[in-house]
Amino acid sequence: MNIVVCAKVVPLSSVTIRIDPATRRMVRKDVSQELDPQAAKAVEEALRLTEKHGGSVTVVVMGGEDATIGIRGALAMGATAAIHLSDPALAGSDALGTAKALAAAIRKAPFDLVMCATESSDSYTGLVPGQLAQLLGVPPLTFATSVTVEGRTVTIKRQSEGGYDVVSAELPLLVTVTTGINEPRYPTLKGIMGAKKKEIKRYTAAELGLGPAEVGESGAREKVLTVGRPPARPAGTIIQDDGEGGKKIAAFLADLKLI
Amino acid sequence: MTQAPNTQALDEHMKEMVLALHAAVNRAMPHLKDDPKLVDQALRDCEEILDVVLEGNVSEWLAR
Repeated sequence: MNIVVCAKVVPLSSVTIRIDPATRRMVRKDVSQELDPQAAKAVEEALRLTEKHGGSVTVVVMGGEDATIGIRGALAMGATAAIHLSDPALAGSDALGTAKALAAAIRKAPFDLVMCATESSDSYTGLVPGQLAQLLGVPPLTFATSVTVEGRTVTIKRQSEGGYDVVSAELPLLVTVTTGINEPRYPTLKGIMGAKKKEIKRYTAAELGLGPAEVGESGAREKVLTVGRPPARPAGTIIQDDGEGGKKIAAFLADLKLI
Repeated sequence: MTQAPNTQALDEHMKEMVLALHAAVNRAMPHLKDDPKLVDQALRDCEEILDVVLEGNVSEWLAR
């Protein structure tokens, strides 16, 4: 089974994220980066599936040159190979542009299963996986809290408000995994050293057959209009219990139509 | 300021080591009480990485 994991490399969780007021984009230059912890869960799940059923795990990452450290992290975990989409022409792509680039890279080799995090832990749009499935022409099984494969059938437990739904589809398909699906393994020394020998293929936008109308700043149809801090929370209501506290709380909740 | 190429490779290698240590500790910390086997393994992995760093055989790291 050939599994492709779409991953993102994001600022370290210990870094305070800054927004460039001019571009309204996250400042990534000269910021320490790591493999997105959400994507690491997709890598882990893919590794577990190939350990059980055989096959390969290829990690695809779109990002600047400094994304290499995150790619090496995925390879050190045990991924077989990696594809790095790195090109100034891809910078500023919106979610659809990103999905187009990922789809073009994935189509370059046969694949059975594409795995993604439900959303990245820096921008949280959650748009790319659905768009990617559409572009690849495969069904998306989303919000997986577990993934099992039997023959060509993939079954997931799909997280829902009341618990989970059991959903199945035939390969090839795309699965998005939730935060709670697993605890990713960490790279060992052997893994780190082994990762240095693994291949990282690099593609530019032109090599993917994509032009400025589709990717990059010029191809982006999403625009970030404003970025700001959330409004400060108003002070809460303090009810002193002078013997009528219960009634006051009940009246307060009734006003909000909560009871 | 542009880094000398060999310094850049060393810098990247050290970052990978630190990230691996960070990940091992993060994995072990929530299981200090419920999974001593996992914690022991993480400690051994950290020790292995730190031993290699302390050995300081830079040419070997960069030759790989």
